[in-house]
Amino acid sequence: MTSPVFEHPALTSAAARLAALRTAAGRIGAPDPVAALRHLDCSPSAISASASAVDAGASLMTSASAEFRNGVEQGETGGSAETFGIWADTVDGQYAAAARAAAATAELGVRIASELDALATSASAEVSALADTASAAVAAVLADDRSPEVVSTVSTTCTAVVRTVSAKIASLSSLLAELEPLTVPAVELS
Amino acid sequence: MPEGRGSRLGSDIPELRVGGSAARNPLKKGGEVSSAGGFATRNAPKAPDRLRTAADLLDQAAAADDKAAGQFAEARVDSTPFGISPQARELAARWASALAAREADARVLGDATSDLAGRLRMAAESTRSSGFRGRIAVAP
Repeated sequence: MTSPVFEHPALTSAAARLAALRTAAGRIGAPDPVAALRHLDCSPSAISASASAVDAGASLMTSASAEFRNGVEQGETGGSAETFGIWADTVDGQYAAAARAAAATAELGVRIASELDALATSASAEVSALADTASAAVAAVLADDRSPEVVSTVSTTCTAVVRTVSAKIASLSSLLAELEPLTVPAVELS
Repeated sequence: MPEGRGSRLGSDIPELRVGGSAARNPLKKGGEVSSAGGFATRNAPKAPDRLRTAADLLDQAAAADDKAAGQFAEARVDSTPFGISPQARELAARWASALAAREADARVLGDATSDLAGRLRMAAESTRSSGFRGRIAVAP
């Protein structure tokens, strides 16, 4: 049987190591451990590329902010009006806010990619270890042994795989909370 | 004199500073300004150039804003790289919202900066043609 392919290579490796456990689970009606891994599949490199684009945008915002200041100072020495200075101050402050938000977004994007990568990698290692400890029971079930001990071991191992994946996914809540404030515009000009 | 940026107005063209003689005599036009003080006549030709240079710099800033907005748009990804769990989908949705917010930030600043550049150019033209520094109305 061809092993399932995942976006994340560590999960592809883990799925290969869980192949026998999966077959045994199917024989006794236990949860599919490989299906559980699907919930953790991700492509950190694609998110990193997105974060890099945001970082490039953040650098441009910083440049724009500097050019804006230069322009405003030239305008002031060239005889701009008081209202110009007041409004320019307002816009200048918004440039700073926009640059900060862009840099924070890029930084968080890098961390999201890194965290998803770490979750997939650590989950792969943990579920592979679980499968290894159950290998004897898995072999027994695959040899048509249905004694309670081996059936229980296979079933418990599959449940442990599902719980491991669920725990990894639950840990995303802190990143969700960090991202929330950045989902609204930082610039407020009326 | 306003605080902050306005307070740094150490112009070498005193009559063209904020609060300078020209600003305090807004009803005087054209040649009348020169009679308010010799500096106006002697220094007025410098002001339009500075205002145009300032406008050019603001245009560059606005162009950088547009490029930044383009970068934020290019950063968009679909939800697949984040995963299929509800939490991963929510993470993808918030990431998309954050990118849209950054793009909106850049576009709003680009528009505001471009508007200021246009007003500086109008003021430069007004100064050049009349010798009087017209006040720049920049309130939104």
